[in-house]
Amino acid sequence: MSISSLRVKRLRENVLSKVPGVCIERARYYTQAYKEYESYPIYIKRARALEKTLENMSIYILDGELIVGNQASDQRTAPIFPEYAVEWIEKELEDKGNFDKRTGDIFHLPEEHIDELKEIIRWWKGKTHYDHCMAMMPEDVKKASIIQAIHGEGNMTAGDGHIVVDYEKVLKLGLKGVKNEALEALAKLDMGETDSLRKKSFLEAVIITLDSAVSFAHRYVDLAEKMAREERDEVRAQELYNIAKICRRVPENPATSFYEAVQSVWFVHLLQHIESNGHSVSLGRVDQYLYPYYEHDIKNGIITRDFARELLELLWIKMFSLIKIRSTSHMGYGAGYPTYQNVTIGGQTKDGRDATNDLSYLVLESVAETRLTQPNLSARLHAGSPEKFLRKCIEVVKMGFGMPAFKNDEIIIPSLLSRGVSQEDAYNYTLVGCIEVAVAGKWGYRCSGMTFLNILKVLEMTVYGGRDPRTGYWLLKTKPLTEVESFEEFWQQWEEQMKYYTRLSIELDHVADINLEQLVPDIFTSALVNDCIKRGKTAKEGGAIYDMISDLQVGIANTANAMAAIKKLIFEDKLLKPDRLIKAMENNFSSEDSLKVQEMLLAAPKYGNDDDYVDNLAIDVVRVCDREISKYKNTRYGRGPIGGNYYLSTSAISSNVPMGAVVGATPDGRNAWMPTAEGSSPAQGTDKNGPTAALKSVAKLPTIMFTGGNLLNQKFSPELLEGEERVRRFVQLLRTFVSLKLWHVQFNIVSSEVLRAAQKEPEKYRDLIVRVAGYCAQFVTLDPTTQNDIISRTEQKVV
Amino acid sequence: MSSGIICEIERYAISDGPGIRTLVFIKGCPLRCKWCSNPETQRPLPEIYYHEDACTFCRRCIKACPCGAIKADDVRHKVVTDRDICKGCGRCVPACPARARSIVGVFKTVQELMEEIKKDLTFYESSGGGVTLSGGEMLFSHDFALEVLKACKEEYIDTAIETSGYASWDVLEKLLPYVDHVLIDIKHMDPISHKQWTGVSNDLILDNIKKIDAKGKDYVLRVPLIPGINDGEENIKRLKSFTEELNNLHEIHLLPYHALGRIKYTYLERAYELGELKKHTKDEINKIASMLHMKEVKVIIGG
Ligand code: SF4
Ligand code: SF4
Repeated sequence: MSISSLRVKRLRENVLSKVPGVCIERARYYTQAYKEYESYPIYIKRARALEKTLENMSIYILDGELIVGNQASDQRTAPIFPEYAVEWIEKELEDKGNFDKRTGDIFHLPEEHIDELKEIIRWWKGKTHYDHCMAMMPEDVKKASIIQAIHGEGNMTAGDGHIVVDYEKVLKLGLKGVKNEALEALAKLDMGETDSLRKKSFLEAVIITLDSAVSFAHRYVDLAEKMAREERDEVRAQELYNIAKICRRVPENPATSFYEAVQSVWFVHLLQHIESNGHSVSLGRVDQYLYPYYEHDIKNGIITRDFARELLELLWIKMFSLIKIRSTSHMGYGAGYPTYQNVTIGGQTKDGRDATNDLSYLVLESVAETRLTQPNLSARLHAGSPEKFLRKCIEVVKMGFGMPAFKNDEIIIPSLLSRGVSQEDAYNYTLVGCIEVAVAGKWGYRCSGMTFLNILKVLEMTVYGGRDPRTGYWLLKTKPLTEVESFEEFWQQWEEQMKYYTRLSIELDHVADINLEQLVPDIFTSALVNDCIKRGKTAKEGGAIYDMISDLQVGIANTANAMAAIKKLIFEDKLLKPDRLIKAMENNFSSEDSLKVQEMLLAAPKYGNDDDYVDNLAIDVVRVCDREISKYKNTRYGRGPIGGNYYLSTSAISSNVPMGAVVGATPDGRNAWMPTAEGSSPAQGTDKNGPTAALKSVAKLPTIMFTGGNLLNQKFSPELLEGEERVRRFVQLLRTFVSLKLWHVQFNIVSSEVLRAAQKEPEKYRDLIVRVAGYCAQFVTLDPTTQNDIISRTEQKVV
Repeated sequence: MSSGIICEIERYAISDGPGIRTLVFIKGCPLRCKWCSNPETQRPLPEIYYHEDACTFCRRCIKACPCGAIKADDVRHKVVTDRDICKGCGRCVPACPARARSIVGVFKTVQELMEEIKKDLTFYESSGGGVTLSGGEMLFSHDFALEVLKACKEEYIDTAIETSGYASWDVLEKLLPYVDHVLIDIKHMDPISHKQWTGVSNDLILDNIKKIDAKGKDYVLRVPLIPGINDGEENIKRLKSFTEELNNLHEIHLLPYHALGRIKYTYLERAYELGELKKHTKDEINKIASMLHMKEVKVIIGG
């Protein structure tokens, strides 16, 4: 697809050409405000800091822009959030002088700001969220974090994110309307009650942030007018006057047109990214809440369909311009500057009818045209999804950038209902981040958690009786593999370890949550989550209607495969002695005998091939994870929200890489330090029976328990989507995905680069199935000439 | 219960009959098409694949073989398996430390095969797919095939067969009640050329096609297009007039030639006799397709 608008094309190229930078303005004004308001309640301090930033930060309108509002001094430039953590910033500055010497996700900080940033860091040292977390963290939790059986750094160096606020309300009432709610709540306070003073300062803080959001928009009014006066091109001058007009109305007032609605949504989305640095702040069901404005404007001839698409494309470019800087040590958990700003289309309405409308298609088309890594587009499917919607989605899938990802109403809605979400809200769910679900404007942060539990690490340690061979730590002693009598006994040891490490992961989560609540409450964001204002509480204090979160279980497939290999080879077939296995693991399958052992391990049943032997073990692994995590409550339990509990999720983004990087060789035949499997997907190169078998294996898991989302990625070669007949089969595959009640599936169309990589490292790509005229074959088993043939064919086919 | 030799079971097969299918390759074929891209499916016994590049010439396989089928080639530092002696017992496979030997074809009972087939029931149901028995030549193992087809019908699974049509009508007729779709090849219209390139004459095949047509069965004609062998105007014209006489033909698939199966000949220690053929261009194939075009008959390229 080619981009129809020259404006979009230019702005897109412009943003893509940016070298990511770092901007210290936010850090400067937040620090100033913290000093100025030192003795004020934390709510007021945070509100004033946001206000000061919005008043003083640089703003700009780029040539050609129609949607305005910027996060930092330039596009793709990350602000610094010193109140969360400064240690890692200081360390990277000391070690490397700047952020542009890292191995990945490079940023450039202008030299002239280095000293000021160092000054800011000095003031914050010992005062940050991270410092408080470290001071509170129990010793064994610290050790488990060093082992990397658990990982929670994301939530100690950054805010929560993972939220969709009530955009619909902003569009209907304007921030003015939200402010009125706050004023009403203030008026109703009985000042004699013990908690009222606290509530009062929260509500006053809400009003400060809402007012400063409006003033921020008004700064663009002034700027646009000034630019218009100086503009020689009359058409552009008119555009600028129009921008001024729009920013004078929104977000303060209700939107009266599609254009205003898009601008209003952008301001509200943007401000959350200035207030806090959590990622996965998402837009929700844009095709639903923007539709009334679109329909009205189209009907009345106010806009054309093309102009609406252009506005959406400009919005996506804006979203792509947002960026975050992470510490090097946490970087691997989300490589490639991701911000996971999800946009959801399709699905069903609150009353269970198909929700697809023309705007759903427009979103799809516009995302396909801009083809950026943001937004992260999700398509909700259900039993009654129209054929056209599936077809249009597939057209975009074929383009090969992994979007849209498919989500399944037929399991997600029942899963939400089982957690006590109302019928109306369950049908109206939205995606957050990648695969997590929530109800927009009603759910607290992080429907998907932030503490990772490395269950493969736990398995590795179980083999060694609880000792971590990498660090030497030995937190919980159980019987090593060499001393157990049966597979059941080995399993029990693993369960003991799982119990222990799950608890530590919860403690880690609580440490982060307690400090996030006390030190860095988000005022603006909370104002737009119901019922924070009514309750006089931030979302973190229990202001949200629903508040359920997950932890992230990493390594399910590998653990199941390892269990299957141990069960079969050691206890059933008795082909392998435990010490021989351990020796092979210790030397990372490097000796001649170890290689033989590895071969046996690799030949054992593998999850993802529709083989009950190992799939049943995967189910058991999940059941243990579920049982353990379900024992715990989050810090909002009993403080207002429905839920307050934990559940399962495998929404672990790219964490399978760093989590694997701390685990030695494992009994599934995986080499040391290699990535674990992604989400609930089969381990790399182990699903050899094609997509139906992989889908069947994953479908056996108790998906309904994974209310935090369950991830399945599939690689597909482009020939499988070529021509009407094959596309039709693919539609049918998707329909079966719906009826099998899988949570999520994403198809990565294999590019020629991937095929080349597979030629170089065949062991990693055994699952790559390609269609060789008339039959399918595992790519890596083909001879080089055939492989090259297929590579050149692929080059032609991927658009 | 009888068993068959299965080369491969391919799930999510999307070009061999309607919907999403499971494609079963049954070993054994009476034809020897020179362009065959699956030569490992021809002999009706399990066979050895020998990966010469991996072989370290340790000769352990020679000792392991109970039939004395393997000989050392001291000059090339390789081993050679006498395919007439080899029984496909597979004992040399685990004996090889270099993983240079593997076995193609395993015996499966009807029940074992059905278990595999039934795994994708959900996909068949949602897509209108099912099972396609292919080969080799599935009619070569017609007793086994009949039992599988009957078992599929008991499970209400849609069935297709992919065949060269080279079998007596009696055999074919017995199967047809359990078959929903027939995919049948025409490799050449001229009996002599047919014999020259496939090893057998085509009378039986063309006759069977007419009979299938007369029965009103749902069927598709598939024509592998082999450059310089069956793509000439003369042959296509004869094909056209043959199809004009058929009453129930709705689809012809043209299968462009590819040499992707070539490597398998080396694994089987056999020669690929065709040499380099110039692949058809898109235009050439379109031209042939338009020559075959008729009202009521869709000509599909690939399939
Ligand atoms: S398969 Fe059996 S008969 Fe054939 S070469 Fe190997 S050991 Fe000998
Ligand atoms: S055992 Fe394997 S490596 Fe040794 S000679 Fe035979 S084929 Fe070659």
